[in-house]
Amino acid sequence: MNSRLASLAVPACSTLLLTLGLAASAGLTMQGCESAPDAHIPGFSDGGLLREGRPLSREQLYAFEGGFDLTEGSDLLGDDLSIRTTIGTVSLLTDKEAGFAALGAACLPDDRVVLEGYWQYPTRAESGLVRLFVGPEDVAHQLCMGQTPAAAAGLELTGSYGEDDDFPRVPLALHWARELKPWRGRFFTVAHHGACEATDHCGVSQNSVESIRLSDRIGSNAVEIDVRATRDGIPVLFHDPGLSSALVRGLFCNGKISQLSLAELRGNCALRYGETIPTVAEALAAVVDSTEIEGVYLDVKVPEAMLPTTRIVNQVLSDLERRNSNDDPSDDRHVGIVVAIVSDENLQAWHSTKAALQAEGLSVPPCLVEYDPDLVLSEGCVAWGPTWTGGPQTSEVERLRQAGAMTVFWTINQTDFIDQYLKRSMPNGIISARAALLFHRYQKYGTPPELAGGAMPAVPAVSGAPPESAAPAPEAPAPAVPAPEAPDPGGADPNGAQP
Amino acid sequence: MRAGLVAYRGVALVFALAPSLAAQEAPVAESGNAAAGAREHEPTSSLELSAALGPSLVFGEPANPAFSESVGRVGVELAGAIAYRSSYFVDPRLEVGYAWLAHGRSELPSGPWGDGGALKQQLGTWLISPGISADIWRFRPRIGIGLSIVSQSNDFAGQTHSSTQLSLLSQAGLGFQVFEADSLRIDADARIVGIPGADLTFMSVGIVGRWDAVSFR
Repeated sequence: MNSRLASLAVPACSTLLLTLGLAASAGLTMQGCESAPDAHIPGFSDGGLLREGRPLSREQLYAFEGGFDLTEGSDLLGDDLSIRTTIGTVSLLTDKEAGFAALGAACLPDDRVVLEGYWQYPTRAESGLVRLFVGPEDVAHQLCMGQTPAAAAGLELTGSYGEDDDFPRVPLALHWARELKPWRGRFFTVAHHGACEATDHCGVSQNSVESIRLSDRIGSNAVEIDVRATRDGIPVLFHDPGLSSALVRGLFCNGKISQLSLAELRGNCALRYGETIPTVAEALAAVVDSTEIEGVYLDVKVPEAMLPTTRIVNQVLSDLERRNSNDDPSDDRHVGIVVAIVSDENLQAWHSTKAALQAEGLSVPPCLVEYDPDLVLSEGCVAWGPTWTGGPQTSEVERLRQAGAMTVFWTINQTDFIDQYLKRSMPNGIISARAALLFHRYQKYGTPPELAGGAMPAVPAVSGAPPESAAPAPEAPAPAVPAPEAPDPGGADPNGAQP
Repeated sequence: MRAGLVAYRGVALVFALAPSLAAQEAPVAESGNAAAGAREHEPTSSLELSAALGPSLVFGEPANPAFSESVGRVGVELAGAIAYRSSYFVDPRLEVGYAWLAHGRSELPSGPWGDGGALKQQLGTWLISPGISADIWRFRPRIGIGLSIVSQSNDFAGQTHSSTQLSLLSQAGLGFQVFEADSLRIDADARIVGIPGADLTFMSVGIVGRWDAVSFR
């Protein structure tokens, strides 16, 4: 009996191990791509103080921009941070965990000015509430009187923060320390996939209209969005060829983007957080109408999306040009849009697209080449978009700069690499999923790129620039968009009748 | 989906514990338990063919409830498998099947795609899954991993189009032998299949007929 038991024990044990291993791996397979990470955007249970106050105007918000040092709360946001503003939002941007706070601002009935909202570390499921009051009192009084303070110097923000939905009780205090380096129309903090990565906890899906709006609030002034074409030829925002569960949800959401019509895609699929998969037209409309984003980097993934995408870009740029050419400067809006050429296959599509547009009497929109810097010049493109893995490539960046072309590296999320590229290459922009981190590190170590004397076609003009009384103002005006062609070293006419 | 995962993990846990139960079973067989010892009198190994048929239930929700008018989650699964019933505890197997999983109907409004109308969906999947199974008394637990080809057809505006998606799958199942005669066995069977890349989970119950096509002594 013992020998029989022994003979059974060996295969039984090995079987047990094998089975446990397979069961575990099968379980992991089931769970691996199960869902997007949980994201919690906290809110005040009673609605907060903002609902009792009068929102500050866009012009007044400029008064908050600057570099700030923290006297309390550095555990959360580090020792210093940058504050920039956009429509309805004051953004605190830090390099600690790429954290940010997106705050609304309002004047309360008792003459105090409150900044209220939430903070978040996008790479971790950590967030909480923030409430700050503006000091000194005379500055708050000025704001409540509808005036814009003459300078941000001396501005103090004092209050508290909390965890999750808990009422903010941990002291947080910061004071204005320095002006921001020029960034509007100069340096592009480009939001990767529209804002956050699929694995982040921002509460919005990548390549969604919602993510584009969020990117404007958390430190980006440009967005990189991915474009594919549906079966019926409508360009939509989506990164992967297939409808992976990492990006979409829906029982009937299966297949590839190219296999589905827009109606089928919209009827069957939603992005991970429930948003609609937007068309390029919808995304660009959101950029123009509901953000202060200055640049759009259209990463056209497939050749068949090239022509319909450029037609839409053309329409948007024409509408903007018309809007900006009227006598009312208050409604001016400048957005630079570049179409990325990411492969030789797409280059061929770009050539046929240019021919088609010219045959239709349409302008050819600005382009960007991702892989070969020589093509940037020979194709008359306005920018080079190298991957960071090729290194800072300082001499190539400088060569293109001399030729009037921009360089925008993709995609850098690590602090030390961001620093290295900012210091060594001094690029015109970097694509990153860590907008707050990139913006703040640019403020610390970046060199504002020079505008190349009108030869920088796609550099968006200053958008929503602060009034003269507010700090900081951009140092130099930027050309309007669509702008003139890049210089053509080869003597060819790369973009035809552009603009 | 979550309900499916919970059920799946339950089955996986039972299966993971099964071999240890089998090890405890061995002395009982030696003491003369007829059922457990039955396999001692069978050929030491065989090449087994099997076929399974039964209803399935798919988990998950349509993406846009505002558009969705109806969803049918009950379908049918048909599968065939070949297994090597070894003299050891674990039997390797390869299964190929197809499951008609779900059908639905949505009413789309007019939009960037043009006029609205009814969108009808049919969802199914091919399954190709190597795995292992074991005989423990009358129970037959099994697990497998493999590939699925999720296929879907959409009918909108008078046109029908299909799309497919390749994805990994994993499955766990448990059969119970209800009939045995010579080389033929019939099991009642339940299993759960997860296709995480397509965000699909379904379970099925059914009848499995197993036949020793070739016996090795």
